[in-house]
This record gives sequence, structure tokens and C-alpha cells, in this order.
Amino acid sequence: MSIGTFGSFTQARLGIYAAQTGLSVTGNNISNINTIGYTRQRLDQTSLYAGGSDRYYSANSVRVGNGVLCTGVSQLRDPYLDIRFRGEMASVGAMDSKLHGLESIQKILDEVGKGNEEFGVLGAQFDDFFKQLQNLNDSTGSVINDTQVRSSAEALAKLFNSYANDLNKVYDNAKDEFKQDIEIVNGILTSIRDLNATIRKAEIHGDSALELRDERNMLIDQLSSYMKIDVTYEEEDVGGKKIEKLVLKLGNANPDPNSPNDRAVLVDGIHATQLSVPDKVNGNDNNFLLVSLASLKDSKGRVKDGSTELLLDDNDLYGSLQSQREFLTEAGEFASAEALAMDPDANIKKGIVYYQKTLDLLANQFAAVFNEANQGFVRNEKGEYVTEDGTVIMKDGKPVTADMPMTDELKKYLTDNGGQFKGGPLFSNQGNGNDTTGISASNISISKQWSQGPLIVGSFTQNAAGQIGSTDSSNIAHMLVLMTTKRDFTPDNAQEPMFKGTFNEMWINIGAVLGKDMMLSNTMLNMYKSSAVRLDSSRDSVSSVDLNDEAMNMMQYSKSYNAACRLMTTIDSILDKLINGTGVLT
Amino acid sequence: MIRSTTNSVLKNYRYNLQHSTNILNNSRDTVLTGRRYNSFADDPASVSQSFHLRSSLLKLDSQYGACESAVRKYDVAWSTLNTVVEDSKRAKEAILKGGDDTAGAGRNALGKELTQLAKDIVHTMNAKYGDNFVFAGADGLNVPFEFNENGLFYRGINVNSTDPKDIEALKLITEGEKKYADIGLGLKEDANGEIITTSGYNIAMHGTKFLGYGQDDDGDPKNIVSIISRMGQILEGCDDNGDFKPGEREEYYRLSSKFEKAAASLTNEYTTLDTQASFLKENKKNMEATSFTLQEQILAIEKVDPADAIISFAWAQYSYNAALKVGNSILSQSLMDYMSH
Repeated sequence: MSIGTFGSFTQARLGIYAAQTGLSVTGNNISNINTIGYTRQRLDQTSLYAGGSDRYYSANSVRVGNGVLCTGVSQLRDPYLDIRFRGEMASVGAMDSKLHGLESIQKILDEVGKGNEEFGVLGAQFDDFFKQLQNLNDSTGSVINDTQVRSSAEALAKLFNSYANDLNKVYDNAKDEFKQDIEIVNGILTSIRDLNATIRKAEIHGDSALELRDERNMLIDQLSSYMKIDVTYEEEDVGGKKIEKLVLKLGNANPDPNSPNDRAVLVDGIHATQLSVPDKVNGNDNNFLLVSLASLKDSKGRVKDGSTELLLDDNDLYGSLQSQREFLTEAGEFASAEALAMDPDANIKKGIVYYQKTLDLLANQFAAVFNEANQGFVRNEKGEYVTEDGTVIMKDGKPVTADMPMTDELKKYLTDNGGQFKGGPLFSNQGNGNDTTGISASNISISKQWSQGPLIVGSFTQNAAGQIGSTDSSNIAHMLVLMTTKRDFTPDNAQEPMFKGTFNEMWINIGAVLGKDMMLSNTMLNMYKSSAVRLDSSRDSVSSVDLNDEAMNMMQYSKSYNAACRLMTTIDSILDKLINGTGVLT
Repeated sequence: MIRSTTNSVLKNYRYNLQHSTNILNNSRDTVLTGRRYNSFADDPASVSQSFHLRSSLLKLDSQYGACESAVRKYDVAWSTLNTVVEDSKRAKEAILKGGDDTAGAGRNALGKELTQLAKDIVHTMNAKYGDNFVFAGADGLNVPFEFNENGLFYRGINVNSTDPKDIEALKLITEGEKKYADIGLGLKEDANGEIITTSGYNIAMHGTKFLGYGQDDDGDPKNIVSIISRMGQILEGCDDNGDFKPGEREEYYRLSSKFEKAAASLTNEYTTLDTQASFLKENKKNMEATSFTLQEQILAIEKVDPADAIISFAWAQYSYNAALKVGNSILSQSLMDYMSH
């Protein structure tokens, strides 16, 4: 069908309308230049061609288009960049959370620049204890020097207590933070679900709901730093109309290819799950803070068909939530068999539990070594246990000697046979007792016995004259050696020692392990962050508003508006000639 | 070509400005603290090394204290023994005079002098350093020598006892009892838990080692005080003409040769002590040098070269200022500003 006489007016009208709409879109872009998450919009136009319906047409007829139609407004967005950006954000979130946790430990355990003349605090206290032992070795028998060793040991114990308590506070805060973040993620999932419902409704009514999509994209971006996710858009048939449906799934984070739940659905259109950390898992305490996903529900609480509750595995998540979990549960070399069964890499992942247990191990070994050194039975110069009159104590016809392991049975035998017990425990698990069981960094104290008076045994060796020299300090020299002896630090459940060194070296090692982990996390974070910034810039290059572009659009639409108006004037003028001027004789 | 938009330019600028500010802050911290690092995370290897060195320095400091105390104890011992050696010289003079028959009636006075000298030596050997008796071995809180009518006792045992048990006890105490000081020789124990002798320094000084103990084959005391005392007793026992009691002349002359032997042994031990004191003093000097080296090493690891730090800071500031300057013009004019309507 060729264009009718007044059809050209339609062309002009549509041109004016299209130019005006184009200016509106440009105006909207300019207005939203500073709106976070706003995606640049573009007017979609199509040329109107009313052809193909002619019943007859002449081969000589010329077909002309009927003008322009505005078919819609679309967003300029690259979904591939979205996927890459969100993938990178999961890594940024993971490293950021890890570093945040390690920094809170660093504030407690890192002693660089701290202490008198920057010699450190707890580390320097070990050396002070050594110094006081040296003084006591020099002035054995002096009550003042014993008191000084005790004061130094007390300061050491208090430092252990303080560090352990501070770590406990960090643990509690991190746990609260983790729970808060779970709530935030639940809020995001609910918001996405509700936006999905609104967008779906709008789409059914023919509205593309671009601004709501911007809002939803921002929420998905936000969610991507908490957990690795997969975003897919599927089609849903609503009364014969195809409507887009957003599906969010976990991002296949578990290195185990057979893991059943690391692609669990988080949001399926108008249904979404909620995360929780149950108190009990299979009847046991949820010590690993495993996360559970509720069944998918819509805003009215109706469960999606076939959806059930899921318990995620230890490694199904990746992102800041997972880093928080690992910070709260990973014990490195102290990992239990249960933890290793869940995650073969558990013994190389170090969260706050690792640092707590390492500090406990150090405090426990220190107390155990000195408690053992300060208790025993009097022996002669050959190392044979003797009675007060110097008689060697025999068992099964042989002398009982100091190199035999001091079992409870042997202790009783010596006591029953005139052995002379000397000394007592220097450290206990509480200040008002002498109980040495379960000494840890948080409870290590000077024993009640030591707090009541001098207790350090100078020597257990009785000389040939039946005396123990009043300034004999062989046992104190032994204690000095203990401070410089490299020993194995082995976690209870491990076969191999985690470290071999002196007490002070073990302490320095704690700082070094933390420092190395932080340095690595920092490097990774910077790398992921710079990559995320680059990807965000790439997204911006597609999606964000540029003033030059919009200026060009303004000029373009302004010119086309003017041209369309001119077209109308021209058509008016020629039709005027045709109608009013044709056939009129002057 | 990537499309640079108004907002992406601003976002990138913000990110880079933040980076530049961080570098400026870090380099300022370096200048202010003078340290190469401010946490383990900055340089775990160097921080560990530095803390090890600092710990060694603190240990060395306490070992230096122990060495200094040992030096002072040896000083006291040295001057005490000096007096004893002088006393033994005076005793020798008196013994020589007493052995000369021309001494006559003067023998009684010489005897008294010898008896007094014996007592003086005992008093001197009970010298104290601080709260401890210097020559008491590892029993420094108790008086080592006691001199009474029953003889001379060291830590409750008669030094002239003929009882094999006493002799054995004196031997074990004098030669076996040790008190180790950790003077930075790397104090270590062997598999039996005994201090390895070369790793510590035995500062136990036994009076019996210097003065002698036990009896010789003739049944005479080896202890110099007992010898002097007995010789004094013999001289005091001479009659008005200076004649010895029967049989005592032989004993006197026999004892004078024994005295020579005991005095030579005393001088010998005194010389050994002098050598030991010199070693301790030398060790103290070595420790001072080690301390200096450790401090140098710590500084080299921990401290920045101020010139480097200031240049880095100046450069960071320059970069930061340049970034600010760029920022000032980052919102440059756009096509909007050139549109006529």
C-alpha cells in the first residue's frame, strides 16, 4: 500500500514524537548520571512500513515507509561483564573478610613496635623470666630473687590471660558479625524475590521495569561479594506470554565435583530461600557453623513444588560468608579428624581457633615443663633416689633412679619408702589452687603454693655429706636450659609437631604465621580488587552515562525534531497548493 | 577501544587517588617511625629475624649480668686469697725462724704468731660476696670453715678426718660439687640432664681446694691451716730454753716440708684462679662486642636509611600532589559547554 495523501503528516508526526521521546530518554540519562546502579537507556526505534497487505499492486508503484515507531526503551548492559564482575566480587569478599578477621588478631598478637624499646611484650616477658632465673641462679637461696622470678612468671601468665581473653572477644564479635551478615544476605534474597515478583507483574502488563532491574542488579552485585553465585535468566510461560524469570544459584564453589548442593537454588523467580546456621546438625552441636538453606518460598510463605531444606557442605560457599565461617572454625594443624573428613585441606586453613589453640599449647607446655622441673624426689650424685639419711631406695633389687619415668605408681613407691619429695607446681589452672590439669592461655596462673612463698627448688641432689648445698642451683641451671631448649610443639590430635623451637621462638612463629597469611591475603585482595575495579570500569564503559554522548544525543534529537517540524510545514505547504491552489484560475 | 564515560573516569580517579593517599600515608609512617615495617604482615621474615635477635640481645644482657657477678665474685676471691698467700708467707718466715735453734725462748712467741695466723687464714677464707660465702662451694649461705678445739671443719666435716667416709665426702664436695653460671657459652645438658661442662662456667669455689684436706701417708695433715696450727702448737709447747718436747723436733721439721708443699699448692690454685678471673673478664669483653654486633644487626634489619625514607616520602607526596592537580581538572568541559542552545 502506498502512502496516502495525508500519510506524510503521519511521518512528520511520528518523527516529532520519536525525537521528543528520544530527548526524554536523554533527559532521563542526564538526570540519573549520579544514580548509583543506573544503567544507561536507549530509545529503540523502528521504521514503520505498512506493506504486504495490498490486495493488488502495480509493478510501477513505489513503496515508501510510513515514518518511525518507538518500540521501547532498553538498557545498555553486557551480561558477560556482569558475570565476570560478580565472580571477582566473590573473591574480593572472601579475601576482604579473611583479612578483616586476621587484622583483628593482628591487633592482639602482633608486637612489632610494642613494649619497652620495641622489644615486644609477651616475647620480652619470656626473656625477662629467663633473666630473673639467671639472677636466682646467681643468688640462689635469696627470697627476693625467688619473688622476682615469681613476679615475672605472674606477668607472663597475665599476658597469656589477656591475649587469650582478647582473642575470645574477637571470636565472639566475629560470630555476631557472621550472624548479622547471614541476616543481610537473607534480606537481599527476600528483596530480589520481591523485585522479581514486581518485575514479573510489570512485564505481564507490558512494562519492562528498567529501574527495578537496576535495583535488582545492584542487589545481585551486593550478594555476589557474600557468596559465589550463578545468575541465569529463564523464560516463564504466563498465560501464553513469555516472561523472563531470574534464577540465582550457588556458584559451584566446592572443589569436590560430586558435591550435591554447591549449585543449590537461592532464588527462583518469585521464590527464594533463607540461610540459617542451625544449633544442631544430625543431633550434634553445629561446631563447624554449617549453613542450612530453607525451602524456596514466595512472599506469602508458600513452598515451591519439590523444594526442600538443604544443609550445605563445608566448602559449598565461597565469598565473605565462607571466609567468616573459616575464620571462626578453622584450626590448621589442630584440625580434628571430623574436620579433615569434611575438608582434606582443613589442616592448612587457619582461623582464629588455630591462634587460640596455638597460644593454649604454648602456655600449656610452658607450665607443664616448669611444673615438672620444680617437683621431684631427692637423689644422690649418681641420680639414685635416697632417704633422708642417704640410703639408696631400692626396687626389685635395683636402685630407683631419676631417669625412670615419674609415674603415679613410682611416686607412691618412693613416698612409701622414705623418698624425700621437694618442690611443687609453679603454675596452675587457677590462682587459688594447685591444680595443673587443662592449663591453657586463658587460665594459666601462678599456683597458690608459689604465691604463698618461695617454691623454686635450687637442687634435688644431695651430696656425699648428706646435704643439699644452700646455694646449689643445679635445678635452676636446668630451668635456664629449659628456656633455651628447642622442643616439639605437637597438637593433641596430631602425630607430627607443628613447630620445633624454644618457647620464645614458638611465640615469634605465631606472629610470623599470622603475618605470612595476612601478607598473602593482602596481595590476593589487591589483585582481586584491582581486577574488580577494571571489570567495573568495563561495565561502566557500557552502562554508565557520558555527558558527551548525551550532548550528541540532544543535538541529534533536537535537529531531527526541527527537521520533522520542517517536513510538516513543507507537506502543509504542498497540500495547500494542491487543495487550495490547484485548478483555481487567477 | 574502551568507552570512557564521565562516571567511569571519576570512579577510576577515586580508586587511584585512594591508592596514592595510601602510599603517601605509608611512606609518612616510615619516616616517622624510622622502621622498615610496622607489622609482621609487612615483612614476616625480617620481623621474625629481628625478634630472634632482640631475644638473643635480652638473653645476652642477662648472661652478661651473670658474668659480671662471677667476675666480682672472683675479684673478692682473688683479694681474699692474696691475703691468705701473704699470711702463708708470714707463716713461712715464722716457721723458718722457729726451726732455727738460735731462736731459743723466742719459739713460744713464734708459736703464738703461727696459731694466730692459722686463725686469721680461717677468718679470711670465710669471706663473703653479697650474701654468699665465697669459698663455700654450693653452700654459700652457711659459714664454710669452723675452727675449734676439735680441729678445722669444712662444711661440718673435719678436714683432717681419717674416716674414709669423711675423706670421700670431702673429695666429692671439693672435686665433684659444681655451681654453673650461664655466661653465654651456650648452656646445655647432656642426655642424662647434666650440664655439659664446657657450656657453662663452674663458679663453685671450695675452700678445701685452696687449703687442702685429708692426711698424707705419714699421717700428717695436708691442710695448710692445720699444719700451721700444729706447728704453732709445737713451738708454743717448747720450754723456756726453746727446746722441743720429746719427738716434736722431728715432727716440726717434717711438717715444715709439708708446709712448703701445701703453700706451693695454695699458690698454684691461686694462680689458676687468677687465670679463671682473666678468662671471665675476657668473656665479658667478648659479650660486649657480641651485644654491639647484635644491636647493629637489629638496626640493619629494622631501621630504614633516613635518606631513602625521605626520598620515598617526597616522591609519594609529589605523586599525590600531581594526582590532586589532575583531580582539579578531571571534570573538564564537555560538549554540553559548547552547545549554543
